[in-house]
Amino acid sequence: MSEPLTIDVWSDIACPWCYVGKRRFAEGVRRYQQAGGGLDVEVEYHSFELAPDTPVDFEGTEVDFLVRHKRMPAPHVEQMLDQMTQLAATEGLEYHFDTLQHTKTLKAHELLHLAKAHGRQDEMKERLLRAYFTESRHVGHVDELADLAAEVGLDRDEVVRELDAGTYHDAVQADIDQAHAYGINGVPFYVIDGRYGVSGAQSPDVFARALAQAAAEREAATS
Amino acid sequence: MTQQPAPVPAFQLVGDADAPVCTDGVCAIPGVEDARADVRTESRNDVQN
Repeated sequence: MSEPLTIDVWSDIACPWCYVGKRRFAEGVRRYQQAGGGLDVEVEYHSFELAPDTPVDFEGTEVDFLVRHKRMPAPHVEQMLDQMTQLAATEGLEYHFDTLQHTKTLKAHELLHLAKAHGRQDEMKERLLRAYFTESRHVGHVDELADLAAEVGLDRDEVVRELDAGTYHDAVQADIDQAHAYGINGVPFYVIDGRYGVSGAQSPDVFARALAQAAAEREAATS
Repeated sequence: MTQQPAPVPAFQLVGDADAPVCTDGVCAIPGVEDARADVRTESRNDVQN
């Protein structure tokens, strides 16, 4: 049996385009398989902290963060976020920037590495994105993260223990270092089978074509 | 022990070069200009003037 196509995805929980990109990529996989693509697709998420300077307990809204930390005018930020909310809705996603709890995502990334070790990374990623953008949960606190982890079948006590100990801190940093080595400065970013780089929340057809191309090259190399 | 990044593969970039991404805490929105560019331009002008 052929090995699956490997997809390495650099993304952040606090990245609106990463959530949209996750939907578009999933649709791209569906189209690739619908068109006869025979190889399975194996996705691994890698850490990328979009705003590492964010305090865990940032007080204020997303608008406040962008105005204070990025020196952007408030009316402009409000326009951006309204537009982003509408774009997300077209993908079936519900964003609430007015109540979202902006925070540092380091611990959430550590949790994604823990989830990977237990074969639950995709479920954890999905749960964290929904918690952040749709439910306005605080994904910077260990207790909150442990509750979310328990929902996808991880052991709550283990999560608290490992996140408090920082067990996966180095793994997160290694992902970030790898992103820098690749020259990745924006997310989402996809590396398909180690051969194709795809930057941004591309259309499903772009993903489907890249998967088909990578699969064809794999077959040509092994035939 | 610090893990070293893997060698950079010779991957080929594919797709729309303008596909939206988030960079440095700010996300590109189609049709909406990145206001940070205005801030930086003004700063440069201040220095030049």
